[in-house]
Amino acid sequence: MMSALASSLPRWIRGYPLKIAAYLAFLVVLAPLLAVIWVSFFENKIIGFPPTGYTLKWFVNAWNFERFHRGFILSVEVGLIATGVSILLGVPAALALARKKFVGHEVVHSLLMSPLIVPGIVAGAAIFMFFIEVEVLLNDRFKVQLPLAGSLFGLCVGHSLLALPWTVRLVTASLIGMDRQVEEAAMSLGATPWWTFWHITLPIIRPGIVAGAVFSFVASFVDLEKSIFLVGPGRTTLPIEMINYLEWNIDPTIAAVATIQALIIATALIVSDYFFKITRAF
Amino acid sequence: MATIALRHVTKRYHHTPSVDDISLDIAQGELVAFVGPSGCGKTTTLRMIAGLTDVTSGSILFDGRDVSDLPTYRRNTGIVFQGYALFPHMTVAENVAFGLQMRRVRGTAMAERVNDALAMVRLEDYAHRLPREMSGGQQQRVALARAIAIKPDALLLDEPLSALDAKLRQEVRDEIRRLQRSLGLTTVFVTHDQEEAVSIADRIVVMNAGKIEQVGSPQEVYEKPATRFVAQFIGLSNFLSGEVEAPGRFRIRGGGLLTYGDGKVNGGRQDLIVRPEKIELGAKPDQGLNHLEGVIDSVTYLGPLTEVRVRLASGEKLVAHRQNRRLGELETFQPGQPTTIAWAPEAGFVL
Ligand SMILES: Nc1ncnc2c1ncn2[C@@H]1O[C@H](COP(=O)(O)OP(=O)(O)O)[C@@H](O)[C@H]1O
Ligand SMILES: [Mg+2]
Repeated sequence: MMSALASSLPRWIRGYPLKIAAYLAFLVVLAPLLAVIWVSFFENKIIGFPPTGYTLKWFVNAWNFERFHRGFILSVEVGLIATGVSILLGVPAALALARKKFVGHEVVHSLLMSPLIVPGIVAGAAIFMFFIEVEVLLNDRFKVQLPLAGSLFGLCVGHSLLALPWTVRLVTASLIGMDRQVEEAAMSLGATPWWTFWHITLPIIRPGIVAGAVFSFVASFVDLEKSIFLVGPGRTTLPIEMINYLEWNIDPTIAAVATIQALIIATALIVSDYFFKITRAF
Repeated sequence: MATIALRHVTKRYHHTPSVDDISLDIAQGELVAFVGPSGCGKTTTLRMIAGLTDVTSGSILFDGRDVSDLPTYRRNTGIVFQGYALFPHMTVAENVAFGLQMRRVRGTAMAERVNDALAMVRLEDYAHRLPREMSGGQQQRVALARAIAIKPDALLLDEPLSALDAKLRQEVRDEIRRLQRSLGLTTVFVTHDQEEAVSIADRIVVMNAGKIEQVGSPQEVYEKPATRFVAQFIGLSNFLSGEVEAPGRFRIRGGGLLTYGDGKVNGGRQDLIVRPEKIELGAKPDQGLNHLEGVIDSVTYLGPLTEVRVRLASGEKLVAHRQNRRLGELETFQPGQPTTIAWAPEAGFVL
């Protein structure tokens, strides 16, 4: 698609100017990240330029800071659960959306996509209020005490919701890009629809599913806005621990944590692309 | 290998028929080509034979057995699509083995049959390649091997050559024909290309707007088209307007009297049809040929032949094809020059 767009441009733009623009955009996106990584190695506690020297002590500091430790583990746990839910619900949803015509098709599609569009703060507040209302309702009507707001369950539900659109979108894209005659060929050769799904369809859309999983995890792992409304006492995700830390301290420890975060995300993307060619899902 | 029969097969989408009451018998080992313009219902017919599309009414029989209600995976058909439709995540050998696995063929028996099928399309050295590592022509031959490996009751090909370039098209076409003959496969070959149909088929089914216009050998549909549509669609035709005066006698606009061999004998306004290669240029009036005079309108060199357009006194234009047998002959025809044209009465027909 990009190349079709590019080739519709005047010839003089297509060569170097286009490449330079691409590299510039790349740099603008990457610059803050590179700055953070650089700062995480600064020796001086008060961030200033030029650095007085370089050190790894902020990484040690971050590692030894109990709350980052626990926040990291909770973020990984919640991220994995949200990813699991996102795949289990998102793949069937994508199949239905890409393959079936049904009443309310557009509505379901918009609903599944809405977490991408509605601002995180709004969605977070909405989920929070919804949880409170359900709690009140259960308590009043059925005398059931079910803590949702601030519970691990509530946190996982919220993160599953924010992860879901990634799986739906990426798997739908793979399904739409797939040649359906390949499935028909399999069935003409004697494969039942069920066998065809497991041995033909699923392997072909696997890059989309893996990409959906990776993006689900990353979206959950870095989420701040929704999580603010969903975490509870003693149950705080890493991004929120980072904000809390920033409130009282401003030293390169936070840059070290961000660097590790970025490293984990980059590794997840690169490894999954190496094994599953997830870039083909776009 | 089986006979295939279509009995009043109809397919309607939203009430409009895409395939409209088609009946046909295909003999065992016969290659029948369905040909017609885009959207005439060829693919729909093939998909109904394959079980990929339900029939709205009518029935489909394999060897006299009604298969109309059987799903694709119970019909034992081999399909080759225009876009190859190979399994992209499997090697060539795995692609060919797929249908055999579904039939519980295992071990050395399977390996042998995979190898045989690949040998038939001369690709045994490519067994371990992935489809994307092969050219279009090779991929289509893999698709063919995959379809014939299961010994299908019917081999169904939907525009199998349309994605290939001209030279390859002929090569793969000959390959399909050779295999189909040697294995005695009952085959349906769908194409929009009338030349392709004429060159490969035992019998041609000409379709138009969901209906069969004519069924016949390639020679029959070309030399004796049953309808005006067939005359137009299969090869080139000249249409001369006029009136049938008596059986075999045709009066053209402007008065000349012509004779013709076949076709309608009732009177009234009609067209006399004659193929371009049947028309002789610059012939002397004799031997009971139909004769007309005209002026050369245009001359187009086409390599093996030259297309000469002649304008008649009535203003109608006729196209004549002339084999370029000798060098230098072409120069004798110049636009604006008067000429005579002639053809044998039996080469003309009225539809
Ligand atoms: N799934 C479908 N839904 C609605 N109409 C269809 C469908 N498939 C084919 N048609 C219609 O049926 C007619 C015949 O199509 P097709 O068999 O594909 O033609 P051909 O292969 O001869 O070009 C066309 O008018 C097409 O629009
Ligand atoms: Mg078609």
